[in-house]
Order: sequence, then C-alpha cells, then structure tokens
Amino acid sequence: MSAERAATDNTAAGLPGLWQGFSATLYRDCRLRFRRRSELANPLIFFALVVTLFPLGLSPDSTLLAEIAPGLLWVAALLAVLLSLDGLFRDDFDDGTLEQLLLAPQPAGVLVLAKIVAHWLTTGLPLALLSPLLAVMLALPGHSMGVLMLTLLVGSATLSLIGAIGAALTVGLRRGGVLLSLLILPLYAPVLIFGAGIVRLAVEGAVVTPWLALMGAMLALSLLAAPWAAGAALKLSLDG
Amino acid sequence: MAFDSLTDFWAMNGYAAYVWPAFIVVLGALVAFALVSVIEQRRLLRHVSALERREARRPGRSATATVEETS
Amino acid sequence: MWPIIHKLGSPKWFYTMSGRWLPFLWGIGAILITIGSLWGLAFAPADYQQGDSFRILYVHVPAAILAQSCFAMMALCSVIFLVWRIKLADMAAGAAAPFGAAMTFSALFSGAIWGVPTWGTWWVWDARLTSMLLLLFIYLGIMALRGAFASRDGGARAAAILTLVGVINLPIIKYSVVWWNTLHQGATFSLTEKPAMPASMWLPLLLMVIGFYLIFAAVTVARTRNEIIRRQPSARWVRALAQGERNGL
Repeated sequence: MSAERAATDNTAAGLPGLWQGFSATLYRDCRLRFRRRSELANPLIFFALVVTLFPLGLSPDSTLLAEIAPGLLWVAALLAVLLSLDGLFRDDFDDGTLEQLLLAPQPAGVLVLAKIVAHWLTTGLPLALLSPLLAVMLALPGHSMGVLMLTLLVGSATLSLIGAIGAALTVGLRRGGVLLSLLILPLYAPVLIFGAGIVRLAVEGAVVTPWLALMGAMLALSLLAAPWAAGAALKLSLDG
Repeated sequence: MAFDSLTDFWAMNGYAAYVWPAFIVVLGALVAFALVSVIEQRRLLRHVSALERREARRPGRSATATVEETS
Repeated sequence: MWPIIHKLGSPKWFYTMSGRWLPFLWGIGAILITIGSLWGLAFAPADYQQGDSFRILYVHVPAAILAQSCFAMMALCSVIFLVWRIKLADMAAGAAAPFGAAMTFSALFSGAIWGVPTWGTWWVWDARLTSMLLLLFIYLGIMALRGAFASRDGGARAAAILTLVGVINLPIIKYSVVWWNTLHQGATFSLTEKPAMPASMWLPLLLMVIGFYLIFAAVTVARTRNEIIRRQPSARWVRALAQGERNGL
C-alpha cells in the first residue's frame, strides 16, 4: 500500500509512476530479447528436439505416441522453459542493471513482474504457438489442439512466474544452473500434472473447463506471490 | 504378547524381511541424529577451548578479529 | 512484546534455558519410543488383513507426520527470521532441515518396504508416496541452496524464502497429486486407511508419534545449540562454557 502511495507521489513530483516503470522495463526487456534472435529461438528448437527424440527412443507407433503425447509435450515444454530461466536475470545481474532496477522508486515486485512478462512473451507464448505443429507429429487427436494450446499458454505463464523465484535465488551463484532445476522442478509438479491431465481429458472428450479454471487459479496465485518473492530473492542475491 | 513364541516374534510370522528393516532404518535415523549432534557438541566445545589456549599463548594476536560476532 | 522477542532471540538465553530441558526431551522421547516399539512389535494384535506386516505402521506413520510437521516448523521459523531478523530462528530452521529430510526418506523407505507384502511391488505411484517424494526433493533443494551461498546471511535468507514458497506449494502439490492419481485410477486403497482401530493398536502409535515429536525437538534444539557455538566461538559466555565443560570432564 505504502509503496503504491509512494509511486503516486512520484507521479505528482514528475517521477515515473508504477505503470510507467512496468511498461518501460517490459519494453526494454522485450527489445533486448528480440535483438538476440538466435537466443530467442533456442527454447523452441530444444522443445522440438526433445519431442523428436521420444519417437526415436520409444517407437514410431502412432497409437502409442497419441497416448503419451499430452505428457510428452508438456514435459518438453516445461524443460524448455526451465532451460531459459537462467537467462532471466543473469545478464542484468552481470552488467549491474539489476542493481539499478532495484534502486528504482517503483516496488521491486512490479519491475520483476515486467521482466517475467517479457520472458513469457518470448518463451511460453511461442512454445504454446508451436505446440500444435509438434502435436500433429505425435498424432494427438485434432479436437484437443485448442485445449493443448490453452493449457500451455496459461501453464507456461505460471512456470515463468515460479521459475523467476528460483532464477532470482540462484542468480548470484557461480554455478546456479543445476541448483536452479533442483529448486524449481518439484514446484513445477502441479502445473505439469494439471496441464498434461487436462489435455488427456480433452483427448478422451471430457469436460475440461473446471480444471482449466483451476489452472487459472494457480496462475492467479503465482501472479500474486511470485513477483514479490522473486524481488526479495533478487535483493538478497545482490547483497550477498 | 501377540506371538506364540520368541522365534515367531523374530520371524514376524513370515514378515521379518519387511518389518525389521523398516524399524531399523527409521529408528536408526533417530539414533544417528542424536549421536551426531552430541558428538558435534563435544567437538565444538573442544575447538573453542583450543582456540582460547592458542590466543592465550599469543596475546598480541587475537583470533577475535577473524571470527564474526553475531547478535 | 519486543523485550520478550529479543530475549527469546538471544542465543545465550536460549542456550542456558534449553540446556535444562534437553535431557528431558531426549529421555522421555527415548522411553516413549522404546515402549511404543515394544508394544507395537510384540503386543499389539496383528491386523486381520495384512498380518504382522502392518507393524511397519508404527514407524511409517510417525515418520510421515514428522516429515510434514518439520516443514511447518521450518516455515514458521522462516517467517520469524525474515520479519524480525532473529538469527536464532534461522539457526533452528537450518538445524531442522536435515532431520526433516531424513524423516521424509524414512517414510518413503518404510512405505516402499510395506508395499512389497501389501501391493506386491516396491513402488506404487500412489498419491501419498508421490507427494512425499516431491517433499523430499524440496527439502534437498532447501539444504542445497543454503549450502551454495558463500555468505551465511545470504544462504539463510534464500533458504527462508524458498521454504515459504515451498509451504505455499505443498498443499497445491498434494491436491494435484491426488487428482492425478484418481485420473489414472492407480492403487486406490491406502496403507493407513483403517476402519476403527482398536485401542491396543492405536495407543502404541500415539506413544510413537509423541516420542518422535520429542526426539525431533531434542535434535533441533541440540543442533541449534551447536550452531550457536559454531557461529560465535569467541563470545565470552561460550568460552566460559567450554572451560566449564573441560573442568567437568
């Protein structure tokens, strides 16, 4: 509350307010990410590669593939998001931008949220858009494509939010990558369970709206809690 | 006693291979924690007195500077 | 309010006070567990379905309860540490984490062993076992994160934040795993589901659970005391303590 008031005071004093801080950070992060096109494509290529490996490892039998497709696509997307997490704060931490960001008059949570949104726009969203293509290759029934994309859209946003906490906690550590996955993967379990489970239900033709609503609830909860936790974690990473 | 004989008790009526390992591992974990924490305390206190003696021998150089103080 | 919190947070005060309780915690805990084990192993009647293999319950259930209680206690300590900056709370959380992980592993191990005579297999992706496994990973993550920081305060704050994130997540994990389990219609009957246990069966279990709690308290207090010495070996009262110990021995 007091932070919000401070931000409105800032506006009165001619300083950037909450929304300006948020949009400026979002714009900056998106621009930085789009400037490095090859890095932008990496999670997508990884996603496609993992999905390609499974038919090679298991069998090209389309009935088997259709059966495991929901879980497989979800696990592959989850790992792709996980791999991209380390870069969420790393560059800004190394060049000192992060320190400046946390000195800004806006509460850290809002600015962190902007960075998370930028991360999702460049990983989760493209992954969700790419998923039907790979789903076709895995012989997932056509009527469940929409649900697959929807769960990935909502779910990957949750993944980005939860993952930001882990990325913020490990950004100050020299070899934080493996530790990051150890911290984050158990917390990803519910998202994976619901995401893959809902697609399975959709394949069977069941009603999925209540479960989709639950996924939305998970997104709302992490939207409330994760930016602040990640902000606090960033502060301690900068202190240490 | 729920068993007819001591042999039956040790054999757990055929379930010995399951019951005893479970008890040994779980209760063993408790005992291990108890032992380790007691041994650790002895070791730490010995370490503290060793530190003190070392300081007493060299009064000019205090080790206090290297050890952080916590509130 | 403030003087009490600061007194409670004073390591010296805690050390002297806990020194008085500690022998009782160890002693009563050990007695209760001994009685409970003997009672449960030898005198409680065998289960009419599972026979004598059900006796694993007397270590499995307390371990599972402690695994969760320990996390709750760590979360409480983390809040106290993050809000009031009381270092003692962080020491207690750090002291409890390995014990919680050990209890989680114990519960998984005894559950897996119990599964052999009951389900005919070591591992079933049952809702309880699966959420326990995830809990174990969270414990390991918290311990690894604390150890990865070079500065003690950084590690403490990171572990506290992760503990709180974990405690929000645990109910969600539990719920989602149960939902997932019904979705796949795996083993639906559970290990501990008993229609009205007779007193001769649940009394020893009660003793075991109380005994486990006391040992948990004793282990946490003892490890916290060790951590206090480790962090301030040059404090005057710690010196005096070491001297007294040496003269006493």
